[in-house]
Amino acid sequence: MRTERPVLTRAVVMMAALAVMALGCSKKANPNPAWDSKHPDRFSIYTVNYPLRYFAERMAPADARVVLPVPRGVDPAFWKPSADAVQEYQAASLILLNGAGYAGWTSYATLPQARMVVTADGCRDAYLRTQQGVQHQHGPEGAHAHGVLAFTTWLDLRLAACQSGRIRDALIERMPTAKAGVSVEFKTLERDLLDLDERLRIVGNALGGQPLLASHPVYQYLADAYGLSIQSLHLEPDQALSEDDWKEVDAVLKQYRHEWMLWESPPLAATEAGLLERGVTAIVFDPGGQSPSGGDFLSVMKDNVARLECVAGVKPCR
Amino acid sequence: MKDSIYLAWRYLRHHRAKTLLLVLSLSVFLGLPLIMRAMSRATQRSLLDRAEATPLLLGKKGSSLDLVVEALYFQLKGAEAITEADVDAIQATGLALGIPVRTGLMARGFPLVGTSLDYFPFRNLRIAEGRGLAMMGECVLGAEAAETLGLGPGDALLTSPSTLFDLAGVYPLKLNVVGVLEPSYGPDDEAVFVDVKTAWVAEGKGHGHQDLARAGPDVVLKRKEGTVTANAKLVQYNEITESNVGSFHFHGDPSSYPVSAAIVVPHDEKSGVLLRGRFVDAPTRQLVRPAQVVDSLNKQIFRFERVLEIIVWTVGLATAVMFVLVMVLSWRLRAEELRTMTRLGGSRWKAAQIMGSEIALMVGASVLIAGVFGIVMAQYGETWLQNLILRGS
Amino acid sequence: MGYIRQAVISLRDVRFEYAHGGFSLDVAELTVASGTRAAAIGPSGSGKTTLLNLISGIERPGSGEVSTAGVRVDRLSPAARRSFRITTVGFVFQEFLLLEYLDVLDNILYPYRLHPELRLDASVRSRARGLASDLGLAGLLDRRPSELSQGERQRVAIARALVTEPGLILADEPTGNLDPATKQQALDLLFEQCEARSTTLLMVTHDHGLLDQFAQIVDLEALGPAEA
Repeated sequence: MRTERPVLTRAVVMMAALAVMALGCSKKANPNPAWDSKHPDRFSIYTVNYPLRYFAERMAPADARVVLPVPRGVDPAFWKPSADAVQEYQAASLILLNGAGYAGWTSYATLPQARMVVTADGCRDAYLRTQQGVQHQHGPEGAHAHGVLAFTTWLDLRLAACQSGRIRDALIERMPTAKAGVSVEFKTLERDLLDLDERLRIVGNALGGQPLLASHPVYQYLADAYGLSIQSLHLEPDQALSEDDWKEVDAVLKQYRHEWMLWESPPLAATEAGLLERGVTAIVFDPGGQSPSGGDFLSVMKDNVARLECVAGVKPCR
Repeated sequence: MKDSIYLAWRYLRHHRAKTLLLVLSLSVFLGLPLIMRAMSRATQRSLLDRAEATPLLLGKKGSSLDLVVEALYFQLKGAEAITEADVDAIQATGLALGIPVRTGLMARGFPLVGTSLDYFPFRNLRIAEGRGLAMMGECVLGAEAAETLGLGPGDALLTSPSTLFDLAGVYPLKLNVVGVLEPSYGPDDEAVFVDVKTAWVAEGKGHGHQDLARAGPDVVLKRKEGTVTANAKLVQYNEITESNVGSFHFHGDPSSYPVSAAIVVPHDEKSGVLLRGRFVDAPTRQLVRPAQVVDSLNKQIFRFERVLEIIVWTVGLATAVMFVLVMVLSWRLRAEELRTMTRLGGSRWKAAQIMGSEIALMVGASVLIAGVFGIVMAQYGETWLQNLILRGS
Repeated sequence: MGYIRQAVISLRDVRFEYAHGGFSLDVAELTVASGTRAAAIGPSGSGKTTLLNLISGIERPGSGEVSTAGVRVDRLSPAARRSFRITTVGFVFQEFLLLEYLDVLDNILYPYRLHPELRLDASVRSRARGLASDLGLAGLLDRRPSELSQGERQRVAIARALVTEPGLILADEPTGNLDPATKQQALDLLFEQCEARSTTLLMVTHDHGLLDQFAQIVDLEALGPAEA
């Protein structure tokens, strides 16, 4: 008996191992047709910004590659890829664009239309416009302006959920065998986004139109969706404000005594101090367009919302 | 026998002009009908092959033949354009892939074809040198175009200033050659491929210029209430480079921009049927099956070919009769030579051998010339005949 | 057939009449010994050319015997007569009858291209070049007849007649188209070549001034009546 047990055990272990391997193989086996030509064994999804990458990663099967090839520290909205980088996108199984003119390079790059999804298209009647873009006129065409659409669409969390829905649809169309998994993951993601959306609505109601200052005009969709009144300047968090910059701040404060100023990332200590002297508290609201140094899109947004809840007095400040 | 051939050869050589005339006439008589028929068959086949490889073609309502000739063979016929929105609409149906084709401009004698990336795998076109299109302002040359122009990756190519759409012309656009395709033995070999957006820029529908927000006073005519009016000194780029590509833009909605046709590739047969059904009564659009259109063209060519054959055979017969007449008259004029031959001991059979050798040598030369002509026409004639048919269609 | 070194012409009771009528030739008897330089004289229409045709086998007599080089030519078939003619007889014509499309050498070698009996080989070519050289044509071998003078053309004709090494030369008014100076020059060459080869020469002429250069004169008017 003592000699039979080791044999039996070995047999059971081997069978279990075989079963696990078979399971693993069948899970990994992917009959999807739209293969990444450079990585022929994997479905690849290329995105133009971090939010889309996050949404795709939440929903795509484990064996899919989700790629945002923008170098760290470069703003994906203004990134100019090389021809090699464009060719990487061309080889992808699925390309996720944001819409609203985000990533201007996509307007002059040659990308395969059939594999592109403009995620925000159709999620709104019309995109918001910025105050940027000089109207100008040359030649017979008449006056016109360039670069006027606001593109941080994901800051409207319902719009973000809609974008996620478009990603879901694109994944299911191209990876039909993964439909069940993608659908389940989408539901969870959508719930997370709508939770944040609900919290921001409460913030909006609580602020009741109280104007906020912003260092950069990137919060249009946040303002529009949640009834926030945001006045934007053009200040960089990592650069000391010049005399002219402070004059501009003072001029704005003269019109209204803002108490809070939204920054994309923590401003320099001197800037923060200068603002405090003027009765303005800097709070960080990371638009989330770039890959965060810590956490993920959801954790960043949660932190953003928590800080606004503090501003609005909805929840205690941490 | 070799003496007869020798005497025949020397006679023919001495009367070069007459011999050449007779040989060429015979070559035409022998070769032309056969070569014509072979070429015509090959051309019809090649036209049909390309058409059969294109499931459906969407265009403006009008001549389906003009539409097919322009979109498949890049022969400019002035067919009216549809828009990029039509291509997007095809995509939106979920039933087919829509591939835009924009023709109308030339680049150093070769048709400029604006299209999307999907065109290349659809036509099975592979890169032989360099790489495919990545950005606006780049072009990929067909094998024939590259060879004729002597261009390759890294070179530049200017579009022609004149255009089918604007008789006044547009500024030539300098294109950057990034790749050369492998030969595909069809119209794609002679095309210069660009992104459809590049084609629009080349047509003058898009442009790039200095940033007016930062423009100096020498360029600005006036600034008023956030509106800047520039003067003629404003630099408009006629070359798209990595540094200025970001400044290129289109006014208005790009989906309203013109596209000569859209190649429609249904996902399956049912999708194709559904799509065709949607366009049956379309007032301003037509969705055609190129194979059907070209088949109809081929039938016309076939009818014309029959008539031409009869004419050629008739002319050929007349040529043969003339040839015989010339030979008979020639020997009558050589009666004295025959008499001399007889007096010296030659027989009538010898005379017949010499005459026969003359005819055989001329016929042999004619067959050779017809053969060489046939080989040349096989090499180049199909394209030439195809272009002739398409230009004249 | 081998080379005939001794040639004899013999006609006996020969009567020849053209099928369309109008002309006939009667020869009661005519003999020319081998190696003889003979001239046949008679006015135009007297049958000089016909006589040559009968001797060479171009024509067959209606009756009588024609014997050339010991061969009864009147009994031969047309093919045999052609064969006999090309190997035994050399012709020199008044109009030269050279072929314009052949050069001088090829004109000389022309008989060798007309009959399978004669094989054109290196020795023949060598002989042709030698003849050409003897007749002063060495530097003209690649010329066409139209590039030659009358005298040169006649010399080419003489060379063509001699190239097959015939035993008999029949010359039909060979100097008729030459000027007086060239005429004698051509005759001298012809006589010289025939003598060197012991070739019998029968020359038809209407020029009485030449007769004293011949060993035998055949008067066609005396041979038999020519009936109009």
